[in-house]
Parts: sequence; C-alpha cells; structure tokens
Amino acid sequence: MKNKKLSVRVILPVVMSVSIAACIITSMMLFSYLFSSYFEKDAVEKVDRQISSLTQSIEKEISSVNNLVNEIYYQDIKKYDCDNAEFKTIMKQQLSNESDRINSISLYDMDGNAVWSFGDAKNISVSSKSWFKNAERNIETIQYGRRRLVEPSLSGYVMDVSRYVEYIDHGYMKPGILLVEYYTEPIESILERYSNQLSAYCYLMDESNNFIYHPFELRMASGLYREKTVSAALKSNNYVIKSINHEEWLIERKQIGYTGWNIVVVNSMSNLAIENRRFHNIIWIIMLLIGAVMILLDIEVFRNFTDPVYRLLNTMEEFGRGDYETRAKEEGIGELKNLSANFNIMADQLQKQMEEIRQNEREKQKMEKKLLQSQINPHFLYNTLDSIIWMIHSEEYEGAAEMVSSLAKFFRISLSQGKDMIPLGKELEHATSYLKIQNIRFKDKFDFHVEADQKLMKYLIPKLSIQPLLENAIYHGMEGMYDDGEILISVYEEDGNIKIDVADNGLGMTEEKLEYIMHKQVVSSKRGSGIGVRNVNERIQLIYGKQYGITISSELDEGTTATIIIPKMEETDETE
Amino acid sequence: MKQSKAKHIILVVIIICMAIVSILYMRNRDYAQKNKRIAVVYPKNNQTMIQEVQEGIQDYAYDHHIQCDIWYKETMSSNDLDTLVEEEHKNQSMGILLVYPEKYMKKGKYKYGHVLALTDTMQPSFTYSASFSQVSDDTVRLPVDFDLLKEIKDGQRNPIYLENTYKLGYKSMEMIEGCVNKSHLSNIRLKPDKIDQGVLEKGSKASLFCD
Amino acid sequence: MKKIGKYKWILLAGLIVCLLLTALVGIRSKEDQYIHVGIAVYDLEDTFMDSFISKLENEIEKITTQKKISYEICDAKGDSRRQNKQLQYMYTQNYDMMLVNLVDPSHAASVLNNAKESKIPVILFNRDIAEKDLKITNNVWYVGTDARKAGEIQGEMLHQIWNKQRNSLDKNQNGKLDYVLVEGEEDHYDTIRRTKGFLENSKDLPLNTLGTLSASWNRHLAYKKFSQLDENAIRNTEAVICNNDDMALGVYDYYSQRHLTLPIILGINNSQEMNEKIMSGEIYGTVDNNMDDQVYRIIRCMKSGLNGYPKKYKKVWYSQPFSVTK
Repeated sequence: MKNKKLSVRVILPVVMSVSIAACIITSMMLFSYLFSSYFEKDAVEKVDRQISSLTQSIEKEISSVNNLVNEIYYQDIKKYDCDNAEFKTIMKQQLSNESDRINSISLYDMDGNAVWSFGDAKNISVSSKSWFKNAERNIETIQYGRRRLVEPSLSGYVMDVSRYVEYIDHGYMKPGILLVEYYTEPIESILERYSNQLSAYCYLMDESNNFIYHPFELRMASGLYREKTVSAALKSNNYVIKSINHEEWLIERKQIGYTGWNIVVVNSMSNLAIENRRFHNIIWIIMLLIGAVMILLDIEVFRNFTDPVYRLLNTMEEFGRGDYETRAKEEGIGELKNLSANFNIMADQLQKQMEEIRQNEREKQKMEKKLLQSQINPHFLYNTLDSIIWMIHSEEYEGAAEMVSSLAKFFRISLSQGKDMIPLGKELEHATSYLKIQNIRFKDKFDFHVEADQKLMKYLIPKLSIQPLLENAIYHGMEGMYDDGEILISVYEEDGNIKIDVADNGLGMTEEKLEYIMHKQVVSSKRGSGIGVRNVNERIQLIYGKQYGITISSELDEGTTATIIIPKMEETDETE
Repeated sequence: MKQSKAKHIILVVIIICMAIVSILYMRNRDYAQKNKRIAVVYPKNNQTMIQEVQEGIQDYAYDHHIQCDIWYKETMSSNDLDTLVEEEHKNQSMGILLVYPEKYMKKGKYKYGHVLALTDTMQPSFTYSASFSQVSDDTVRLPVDFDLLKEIKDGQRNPIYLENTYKLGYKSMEMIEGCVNKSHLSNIRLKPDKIDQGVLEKGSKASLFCD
Repeated sequence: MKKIGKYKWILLAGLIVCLLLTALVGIRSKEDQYIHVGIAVYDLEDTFMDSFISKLENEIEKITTQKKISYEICDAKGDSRRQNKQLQYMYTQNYDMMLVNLVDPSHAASVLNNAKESKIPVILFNRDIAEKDLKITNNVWYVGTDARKAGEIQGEMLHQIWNKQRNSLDKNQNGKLDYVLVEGEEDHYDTIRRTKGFLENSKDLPLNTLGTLSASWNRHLAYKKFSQLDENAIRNTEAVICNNDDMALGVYDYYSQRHLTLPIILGINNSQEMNEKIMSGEIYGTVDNNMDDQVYRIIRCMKSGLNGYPKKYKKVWYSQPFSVTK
C-alpha cells in the first residue's frame, strides 16, 4: 500500500523542481533589479556626457563673443576717438569680418543717444531697453539680453550683447554703452547637432527662462506643442526622472557659465523601458526554458533511480504473494543493479531451500508410508502362523501358545495405535517378542539377553528400529551357528544419549556386506518387517538429525554389533 | 533508452527553435513601431504655395515616425484618385492628404472615408477637408512682411489675422493618423491667429515670422 | 509504444508551431510598394535649378521599374539651416535614394556620414564638394558641371567676338576690352572654377577689369551691385562676364531699365529666358552646361544604385558644356 503523499517518486523530483524554480526566480528578480538600475544609470550617464559636451561648446562660443566685444572695446574704442576716420574704417572692417556673427555694432551715450553705429541697427530711444539698463547697472560684465528677430529681413534671431564702456569723445573720456547685435545662429547650430526628436531633445533658456533655442519652436508658436519640463528642470539639482502623461522622462539641466543660461536635455525613458522590458522578457523566457529543461532532466534522472526500485518493490510483492518464480530485472545504475541481483540470489536460495524441505517432506511421507506398510508384513505372519499350526499339529501346545502370545504382542506394538514414536520399553518388548518367535522357529538356535537401563525406558524411540537389526543379526549373524549363537541387546546411556547395542557372535561381515546393509533398500522381506537397516538409519536421522543413527561394527568370525544412538526424548504431545 | 533519447533530442530542438525566435525578436529593434504611412499629393511646380504646408507635414511625420508616399500631380481625374486610394490602401497607408487639389482636380463629388483635402476653395467637393474658417478681417499667410509687422507693433495698423498654413498641414496629418482606427475623418477648420501689438510684444510667435 | 507515439506527435506539433512563429516574425512587416527618393534642392528660385528639377521629375516619372517611384522635393530657399532640418527629416523617411543639392558644400561630410549610417545611397549634384568627402562612403556619386570648361568657353566666346567685331566692341577705343566680372557665391567651387577658366582662357586678350562683383548667383543682387558701380565704369563697360545666367539677366535688367545700350553679356546656364534674349540678339551668348546630360546621368546612377550596383558608374562625373550664341 503506497502512501501516495510520501512516495519517493514524487517527493524528490518535487523538492528538486521547487528548489530549481526558487533559484531561478530569485536570480531573475535580482537580475531584474540590477539590470533596471544599471540601464537607468547608463542612460543618465549618457545624457550627462551629452550635456557636458553641449555646455562646453556653448561656453566656448560665449567666450569668443566676449573676446570679440572686449577686442572692440579695448583695441578700438579705447584707442581711438569716436570721430576718427580710421576708427570708422576699422569698425567697418570688423563688422564685415564678423558679418556672419554680428549684425551691428553701436555705441550709445548714457542718455541713450547713438554716438555711432555700424550695420543695420535701429536708433530709436534705447535708454528704456533692458540691455541698456543692465549694462548700466553691471559695469564689469558683458550683458546678454533677450533674443529677437532680425529686422527687417526676419531671417534669424539676434541677441543684444551690451557692456559698459568708456569712449573718447573729442578728447574727453565719456561713459557709454556698447551694443553688439549678435546672431544666435552659432549657438543654434551647436544645439542642432543634438539631432532633436520628440523623444530626445535639448533646449536653452536664458536667465528669465525664455527660450534662446528650442527645437520645436515653430510647433509651439502654432500651439501644437508645449514644453512641460521647464519647472522640473529648474527644480532639479542635477537630473530628475519625472513622469509626464504616463511616460517617464529623464530631465537634466546644467547652468552655462558667465551668462547664467540653462541648458536642458530631455530624454524619454520609455524607449529605454521598452528595450528594458524586451530584454527582460527574453531573459525570462530563457530562464524559464532552462528551468523547464532542468526540471525535466532531473525528473528523467530520478526515474532512472526510482524506477528500478519500484520494479523491485513490485517483484517483491509478487514474490510475497506466492509467485516464487518471479525474479527482478537486473537493470539500474550501480548499486541498484546489485540490489536486484541480490534479491534474485535470495529468491533462488529460498526456492531451493523450499524445494529441499519439500523433498524432505516427500521422503518422510514415503518413509512413513513404508512404515505403515511394514507395520503389517504378511509374510512374517504366514510363516509364524504356519509354525504355530505345525506346533499345534505336533502337540507342542506350550510352544504354540507362547508363539501366539508373542505374535499378538509383536503386532500390537507394531501398530501402537498409529504412533510413530513409542517408549523404549515397548520397543524392547517388541524386539523380545520377535526374538521369542524366531527363537522358537529356529528351535533355540540362539540365545538372547536384554540388558537395559530401566531409567531409559521412558524415553521415546521410533518404532520398529531395533527389530531390523535383530533381523540382520539372526539371518546374517546366526548363519552357520549351531546352538551357540548369542544375541545381546544392551540399552545404556552414553554422553547424554541413549545407545542401543545389538550384538551377535556370528560370522561377522565384510566391509562390503556392511556397506550393502547400510545402504540397501529393502522393499519387502519374508523375514521380518522388510525395513532395512538403511531405512531405520534414515528415519532416525530424519527425526533426530544427522549426528544420530546406526553404526555397525563387525569382526569376521567374531561377531557384529549394531548400535543405535538416539537422544533422550521424553513423551510429549509434540511427538506426533 | 531509445524512447528517452528521442525525447531528449526533441527537447533540444525545441529549445533551439525558441532561442532562434527570441534572437529574431530582439534583433529587429523597430518591431514595436508598425510602419505608419500616409500618402500626400502636392500640386506640381508650386513650391512657394506649398512650402509652409510641406514643412508642417514634414514636422508631423518626423515627430510621429510616419513614412510619406509623396506624389506631385499636374492633373488628377476622379479615376486617378480612385486608383490612388486603392494602391495606397494596398500599401497599408492610413489615409491620403490632398494638398490644394484645386490646382490639379476639377470640382466634383469625391466621397472617401480617409481622404482629407487641404484646400481653400474645394471644401464642398470633398467629404472631409481642412481649411481656415472665414474671418471678416484681412488675413495673411506666411511669410509675413516685416514692414507689416512693424506697423502693427507701432500701432499704425489694425491687428491682422494670420492663416497658419504650417499648423494646417500639421493638423491634417494629425487628423489622418488619429482616425486610422475609425471609419472616417472629420473636417478641420482652423481659426486664423490674431496678430496684434500684444502678441508681437510677447514674442512667443516670433518663430512663425522667422524666415 | 502507443504512449511514446502520441508524445512524439505532440512535441512535433509544438516544433512546427515554433517554426511557423519564427517565419511569421520574419514576414511580419509587409514590403513597401514604392521606391522612395528624396530630393533636396538648395534654392528653387534659382531658375537653373528650377528647370533642372522639372526635367529631373519628368525623367523620374519615365522610369519603368517594377515599383513606382515616389519622390519628394525639399526646397531650402538658400538657407543652410532649413536644409539641415529637411535633411534630418529625410534621414528618418528611410528613402531608397537621396539626391542632394547642398546649400553649404562644407556640410557634405555630415550628410554623407548620416546617409552612410542610415544606409541610403546619395547622389550629390551641382554644388561641388571636396573630393576627400566623397571617400566617406561607397554609395555616393557626384554629378556636376565642368565649371572650369564653362569659364573657358566664355573666354573662347569673348575671343570670337573680339576677333570678329573688335572695332564695334571697343566702345571707348582704348584698345582694351573693358569688362566687369560678376561672380557667384563666394567660396563656391563653381565660382572659383568658372572665373579661373575664363581668366585663363582670356589671358591673351587685352582685358581691363573695371570691377569684380559678387552677386551670389542672384539676379536682384547682381542688379543691385551693378548699380552700385562707379558711373564711369558702367559707361565704359564693354562686356559683362557673369558666372551664371540669373546674374547676367540682373545686369541686363539694369541696362534695359535705363534704356542703355547693352554691352556684351555672357552668362552660364542657358536658361529659358536667357536663351530667348540670345535669340533675340540682346544678349550675346551663354554656356549650356548640358543640363539634360546631367539629368540623364543622375537617372542612370539612380537606377543602378536602386538595383544594387553601386560600382557601375564612376563616382564623379562632369557634363560637357557648350557655347550658345545666336
């Protein structure tokens, strides 16, 4: 009866699978977490580098504009009187040299009147303009103002770059404000190099958070786009990842030196997220596959171990139920094969032993049958009856009466109510009865004596054990003896065992004869019971064991002694 | 033994297949973006007229990763339009934008679910059209002359109304993409933007005037 | 046995499903039915470019390949930034071929690099670029004019007329051919080469340079700059050699507006208007840069590029100019 829950076949693979799955899931989660943070860090770094490089380029451009303004101031304005003709040509030259960067150069006095101006500049009242006021307030630095469209061509944007100067007017040093209208194009081209798209773009704001450059300006002016990252950018210290409209955006801001402008780079994290997710999915699938394969493999491997065991189990059950022919298949890894092999060996042994027992049983049966058969030997009976009739006819009534009585006793003890083992006393009686009968028949050819230890009379002995010996003694030993044959039966104890000697002083027998008697199978004999010495020996050995039995010693012309050795066995109910 | 060997081999083959599938999956990085397509028809040899609209269309296509099938037509009959609609449908385009069909088509009744006509005069000929709604005042289109702007800024002129053709082009594309899953489009009527002193001072629309 | 068989069938079915998935994944995106070509022009207001592109359009429509060709024309109106924006748009459109007429030839490298990255073959035309830039990718051709030869032909034409009508030509009878040179865009290869070609080929003429103007290929600018010349110079001008027709017409405008007698005006391009004026005798002559040949060459390179034979045609090709006079 298999307790299904605890079956080895199920538990071990399940445990293995669960542990594999647990390993894989934990490693996946760890991996996921590490991976996402790595990706994010990587993205931030990339944007970092981009913003640094853009910042550098813009700062370089600003520095060159500063240099230009300062050059105009220190090399030209400070040197020449503003009315000087040479000054004018030099300025015109400057302007045409830098015509792709500068739209105009003008100088205003502190009241806002133009002192001179070169290029397409406007001369309307400038004292209210912010660039004027800023330059007035901060006399050390160059001021960068708002940008506006170039007029009148509207072909681009310019920025008012102003600074406080001191110029020479007719020999007098006067304070003034220098204004340079600077095309923002160089800055725009720097920022355009970023290849702006909706998912990754950069823009530049001035100090008042107006856009100096924005890639989607046209869309913004048409109301098709709104820049939503300005506040997040300004709040952030370095970078921030904000969620706008259910999408994640990486916003990084950097302040440009000198001007206080802010450059902002915005990258959509959703592309990253998609890549991330896809990568994750692939790894998950691969990991799941690996897990599935591993689980399958270990189930397979386990099958290889548990199947032979289960087969053996089945075989054993069958065997136990009585099918003793079944053998286990000797297959399996390593020791499992040995297990099956050894089981088979044990089964073989068992079968053999059972065969042996059966064999022994059969023998015993046979013997008992024979015993039964021999209990009534007709030939002996006829002979003895014949003798009795002859004696009656001969009017030897005493002898006849004696014979009849001995015959009765003989057959009564022979039967012994079907018992196999009888007390030694009775057996001796049986033997003496036989002897008396034979004695009378053979006309006192021999003498017999019984010397028995009375104490041993109660012990059991298989019936019809002594009589075959007496048979042999009479027919082999007493041949050729005339009136001086002697048969002696002794029963004594030796070494805790009972010994019964049947000695005669006859001719003795040769070794061969000895052998013959010991091993002769007697089927039936007219002379007695028909049981040979061999049978008696076998019976004794079967009942008591191989260490007991009959031994015969003989000396030619001296005599023969057959000895029965049996253990002491008391009468109990078991002897049946 | 044989049975489990066969099982193992099949298992290995399945694993290889899945590996191949996932590699292919990863390799094509644009798998998430289906090829979006819109067909646009311009009048031939009318670059100045379509310049702004073209820019609006191009900006939308750039922003939303749309591929454009561009056609320049001198004349287009009703049958031509039919064939075009069919062919573009085969090419999986989301719709057709006819830019100023008055230049190459005759007035008629063109009924299509996904054809949008960007037009000034042919609104009745098409089921769906994109144009500017009428305003009583003067309207101008880009590019705007600087002197005009100056006059408005200085207050010497009344505010004008600007028909933003760039925006019209952009919005038309937006409409076609937006209605790809619906059975039909809708009309677009853009209101012209008011350009007055305040707007010019603020400068937020400056980029519209920048050439 | 039966169990194994069923198992095997299930696994086999699973295998087939996997293979089908693989195949489907590959065929997923349907092919485009058209070939796409992007054309970026530096300025369609340049009459030469206008007629060039018209002819190009006609020739493209005549091409019979298995797929129809859809092209888009982007006009940069002379603005390099606008062209940049248009080019950015064009890269994302995944064209099969790009024809680019650069506003700023110094941007050639970035265009070719981007095209290389997007794997688009490019034909640059009519705005000469540095030869080194052409080495960036194999998938590029340049089709242009032999600007130097054009200038030389101008010189030849001047020779002809000087030899034929020396007396009537030399208005002020100073034995010298007084002329004004009107050049195209500064730093432009065509400007440099055409001028050089002309000057070299007219070395042996008794030339007297009255002025050198730079008018950026533009008719109005030529008009304006010419009018800024010294009065004296204008009066003495016997010939005006212009790097292109539009500028020549600008000078013509100046003269015809003031109803002055026209000097010998030479241009380059053989634009329609120029041709008319030559046939009517007002303008002396021009050089035809064989626009048709250029267009045909572009078409051929385009076809071979689209069919995948980038090496079939030489990378750099100039058309052969010829003179046009009455």
